[in-house]
Amino acid sequence: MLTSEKWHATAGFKLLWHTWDDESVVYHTGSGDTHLLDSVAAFVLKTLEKKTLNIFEIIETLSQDSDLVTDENFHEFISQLISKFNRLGLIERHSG
Amino acid sequence: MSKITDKTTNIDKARRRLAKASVAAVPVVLTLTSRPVLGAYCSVSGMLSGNLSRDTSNVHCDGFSPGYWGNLGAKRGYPAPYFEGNFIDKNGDPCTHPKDIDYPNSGGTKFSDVFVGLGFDGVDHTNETLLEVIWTYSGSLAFYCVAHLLNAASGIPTYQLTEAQIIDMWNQWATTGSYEAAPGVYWSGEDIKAFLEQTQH
Repeated sequence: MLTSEKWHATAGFKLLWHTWDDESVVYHTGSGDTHLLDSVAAFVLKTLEKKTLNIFEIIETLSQDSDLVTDENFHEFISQLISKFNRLGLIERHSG
Repeated sequence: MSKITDKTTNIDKARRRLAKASVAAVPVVLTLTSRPVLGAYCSVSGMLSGNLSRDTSNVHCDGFSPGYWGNLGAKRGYPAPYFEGNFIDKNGDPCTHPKDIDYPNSGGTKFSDVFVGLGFDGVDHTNETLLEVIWTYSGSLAFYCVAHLLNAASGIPTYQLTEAQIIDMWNQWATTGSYEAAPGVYWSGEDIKAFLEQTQH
């Protein structure tokens, strides 16, 4: 995955959320699937509903809104998260 | 002043939640799919011979639903040799949602390129695309057969039905009103739908 690639929530479909403390469930109207997300995953997906960002920009947004240590491991963590969201059809590459 | 204090406290809690969550080694994203409660029979022969003699509670055939093939499945692209159609609307503009596609001019695979066009119910799908059938005839046998044709073509490891079987189901029903699942055993359109539905999640 190229770190310069930009991502956003898959256009044309809605994400319906319900959140309890540290966990969220999200229903994707495009697939009919429901996913359970931890708070970081939910934060990233909610951010990509509003913005089109690359991995560096996602990490920067997270670091502004949390006390997370954004080291190399964290970059790998976010890369895995983006890959998983993409596989599930929750997000797509920005084609612009 | 108290409002400001409350807001600050809320922000700190949110920051703590994110920090705590970061401890996980891998991102926590679990898919909670809805599956048949009683398990499933993934093949016609299994359905015919299994009945009460076999515990199917852990069997999942993992076919996608027609709703998937009308939405995200279309957006991601149908499996070869089938084509969902170009994402161009009736004004000739690009569109993002499959329901907005101008089906007749989309270049999508026509129902009658695969199946007998005229159903036993008298509905003629000859000039409709596969995607158009899914969006226009929700709940019909055509709607299920299109979805399961695409499941069969997708290479889902646990999905056992073949494209030829799905085509045969539709074509027999379209011409005679039933499908001969085994010699002398005939399924109605509703039987076929029920069988296909329990192979999807």
